Amino acid sequence: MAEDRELGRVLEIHDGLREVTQLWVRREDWEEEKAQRLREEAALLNHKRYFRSIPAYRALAEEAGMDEDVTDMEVIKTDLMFATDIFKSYDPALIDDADWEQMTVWLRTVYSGDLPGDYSNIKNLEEWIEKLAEAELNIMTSSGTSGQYSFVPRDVNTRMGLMTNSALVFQPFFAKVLENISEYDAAIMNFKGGSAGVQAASNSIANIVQNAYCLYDMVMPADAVRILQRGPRNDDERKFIEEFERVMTTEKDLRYEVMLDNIRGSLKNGQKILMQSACYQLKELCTKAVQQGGVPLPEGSVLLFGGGWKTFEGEKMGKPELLELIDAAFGLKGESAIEGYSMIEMNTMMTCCREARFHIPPLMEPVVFDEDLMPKPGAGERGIFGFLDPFALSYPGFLISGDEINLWHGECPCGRKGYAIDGEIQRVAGKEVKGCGGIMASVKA
Amino acid sequence: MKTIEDLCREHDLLALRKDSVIRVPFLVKGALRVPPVVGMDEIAEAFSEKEKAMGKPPNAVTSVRLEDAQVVREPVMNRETMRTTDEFVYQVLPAFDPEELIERDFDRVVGELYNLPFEEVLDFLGKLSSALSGCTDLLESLQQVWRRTATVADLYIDFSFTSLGFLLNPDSAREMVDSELSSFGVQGSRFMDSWVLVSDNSMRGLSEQLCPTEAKETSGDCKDPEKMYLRAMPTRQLHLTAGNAPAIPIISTCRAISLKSPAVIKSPYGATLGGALVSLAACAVAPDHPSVRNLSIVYWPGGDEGVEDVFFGPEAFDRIVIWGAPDAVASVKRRALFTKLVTLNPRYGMSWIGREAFENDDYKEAARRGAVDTMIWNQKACIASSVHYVEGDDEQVMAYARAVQKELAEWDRVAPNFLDPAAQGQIRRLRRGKLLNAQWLANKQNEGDKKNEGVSSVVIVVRGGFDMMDHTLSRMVIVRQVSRLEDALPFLNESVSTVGVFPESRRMELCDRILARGVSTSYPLGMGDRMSTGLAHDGMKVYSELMDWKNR
Repeated sequence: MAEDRELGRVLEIHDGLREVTQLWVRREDWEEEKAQRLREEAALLNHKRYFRSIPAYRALAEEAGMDEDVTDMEVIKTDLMFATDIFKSYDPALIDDADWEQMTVWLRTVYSGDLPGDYSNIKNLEEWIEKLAEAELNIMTSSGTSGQYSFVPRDVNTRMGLMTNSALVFQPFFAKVLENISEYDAAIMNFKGGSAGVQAASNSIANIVQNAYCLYDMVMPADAVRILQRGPRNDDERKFIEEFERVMTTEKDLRYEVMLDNIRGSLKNGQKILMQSACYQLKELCTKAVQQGGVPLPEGSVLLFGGGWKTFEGEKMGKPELLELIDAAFGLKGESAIEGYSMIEMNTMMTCCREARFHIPPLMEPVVFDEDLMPKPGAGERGIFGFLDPFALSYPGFLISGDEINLWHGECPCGRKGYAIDGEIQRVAGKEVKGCGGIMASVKA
Repeated sequence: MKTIEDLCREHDLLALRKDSVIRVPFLVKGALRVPPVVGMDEIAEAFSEKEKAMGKPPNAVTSVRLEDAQVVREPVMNRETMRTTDEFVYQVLPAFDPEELIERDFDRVVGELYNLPFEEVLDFLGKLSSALSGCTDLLESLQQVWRRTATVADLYIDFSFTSLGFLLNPDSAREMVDSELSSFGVQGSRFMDSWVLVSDNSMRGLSEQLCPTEAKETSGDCKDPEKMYLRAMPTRQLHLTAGNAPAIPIISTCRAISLKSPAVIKSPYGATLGGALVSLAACAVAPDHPSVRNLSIVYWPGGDEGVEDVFFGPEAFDRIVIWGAPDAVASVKRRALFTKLVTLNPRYGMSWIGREAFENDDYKEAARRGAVDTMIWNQKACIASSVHYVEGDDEQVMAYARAVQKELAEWDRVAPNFLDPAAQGQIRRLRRGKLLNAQWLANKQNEGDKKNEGVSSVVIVVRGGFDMMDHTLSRMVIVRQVSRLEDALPFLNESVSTVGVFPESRRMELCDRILARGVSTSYPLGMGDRMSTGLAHDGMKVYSELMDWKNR
């Protein structure tokens, strides 16, 4: 069947892109044009696949006067890219009303496969995600400050793509760690469990080491942010909020103390540390460690951090200052303290080099947009970051993010060539509200 | 006596040069301050350097500081496509030292301004108003200048200029002061001009009664201690105005003058010409009048710490009035910790349409009225309607939405909308993201012209909640279906300024329940921007808030 042939070819392209990326990872010479050709071929094939199987995509294409035969990449960039908010395009009342059957109907509009089964008796978000997992569908969630979740549906192939690509990009930093994983304990500045995007990385790290300790000794329920925002509706939710407040506020200082004690314990046992953190927690932990005279980690220890400052914008510090603080606290510098950048809709990661550039692996095609949301010519432009992700097989992978970047292209002194995000990544500013019309904060109408 | 035009000619002001430069004056405590002569080369170089230093594209840099001047630039609009072009109009403005604008000589202002009879203030306002209404040639030429860069349709520009004189009308000023400062049945202006006896049987205080030692009479005793007096004392005011409606700086100036208050008015970016015109008029008609000597009308780029750190510091002003965008209001609130703020917060309006609208096809008239309220200052005003709640079934709601779309198309025809790139991007983002499953009814502008085509107005029928941070406030109407109008009550809060209701019987029924939830005004649908003196503004009697009420 044509569908199978197309999927087969796309999977071959994935292998081809990974081969190129292996060279890119090793900072060896790689063929940019070849990667470009492969990405374009994948995009055009994925267009056909999305057109046939993803209702929302088909509707957008038909509205733009397109059918499944598109041969011009510019058409895709101009007319067929979705905002990442597509994964929030459901009626939030469905969650509050626990109407998981209708949520499944919605999910089908942005997903490429069938979702058979009875969803009428599902009681909460956790159960829904578990039920979808039975259909081999992995749902990754993320919640912005609005409290409305994104649900990104990954089938087996897409999930595998994400895991393989992430491992590939992190190979230079983690290859030695993985070879000697028994020598490592993990310090995870996150919750003990949960379904949020960054939590998936935490869970993966916790699974591969013998001893992992988490900053917050509780599992973050899938609907945690929504519960916190709208208030509790039953005893379980009340209990969750109490526990959440305990770890986040009452015991805030204590949690960092315990984390540092755990790290010291690992060091006594001769273990190295594999640490993962968001910027805000990292700043707090490092500050505490410096106050205590520093906790130098043994050679080979690695820190992976990222995620920006989000709701902690008031605590933000410059990257050089943060790196200095990390060095003072743990003696980690250079390639031992790696800043990563990704988003749950993306099937790869980027890492920041010493030149303060997030290098985009050849696995993905970056596009930069003006404020009109029309594509700009290419590198050398500041604008809204979008990407064509060949590895998104089960949802539309032509996406426009909410981040504003400088897209750079060239040969970096760090040894990488190709596309990179140069300098600071900012959230796209809200539209300028000139005058007295508007609102002070996020208000639902 | 010089006229406004004489002053313009004498100092080469408010005339657009061939190189797209216009010289704009300030009023600094009664003195007309004119900008220095600056050549286009110097201006271009300053902008180019700033763009390079900030790493930003040309349209992101809107102002530069030269040695003795500030230069503000605004992109030129193509009035046919209502898109911005790559050209700019450059306004050269004078520099000023913020400290020189602050009034610290209390004794002088008490003698000169606070005790000035209100009638003399009204007399001055009358002269100001006549001077502004009389300079028709200058107004016409300024209209043309503003048209070059204005992001509102010509219809709004024409109206703004013809209403300038009206905004400073002394009769309205008298009514405002007399009604808003009125107390104990006494007209407000009396409280401003003198001490008013409000009690002749005040009660002795507890301490006075409990004092254990006996009182003795002295020659310096108050003869009528039981009499108490009240006065409305003017305050030193800083007005930070918004650029959504050019009338706002003029309204602020009128408030400051009417209240005999030493004031600094900050003109907003995009609307400095109105303030300059009032400055010239003041200097032309009564340069030595106390109201003029204590008035400054200036501009600085919002956020300029060199200016704002001085203005927001302790004891610089008694009141800061802030109109504006959410970040501007939040920033002033955070920084001006020691000064009483009168914040006219960013808010939005709603329209509620009852099921009665679908009897006898009244929904079309309701849609017309809903569109009228939506179009208040091109939906930029805080009283403009942004969300319409409709009580009806699916079909009725869609019929209403289509009718609003049709009405907006008519507005687009007579007053083409500015196709703001950010708003166009936001519409695309919503259409291809969060509101993918909503029903979209869009009106297009420049259709068929791929480069300039855009959505001029849009009605979106949304299921579920809508995040107001996503609203473009540019001819976007969110329609939400409710089975009962009461179902919209939970969406009311302090952020909602006004609710227009149709039909009137439902407004009367729901009025108190709507207003109890933080809303300031409920009005018959289609009458959202009716004006009258003495009404509350954002839940306040603003004139009263701007005065310091004193006891004697």
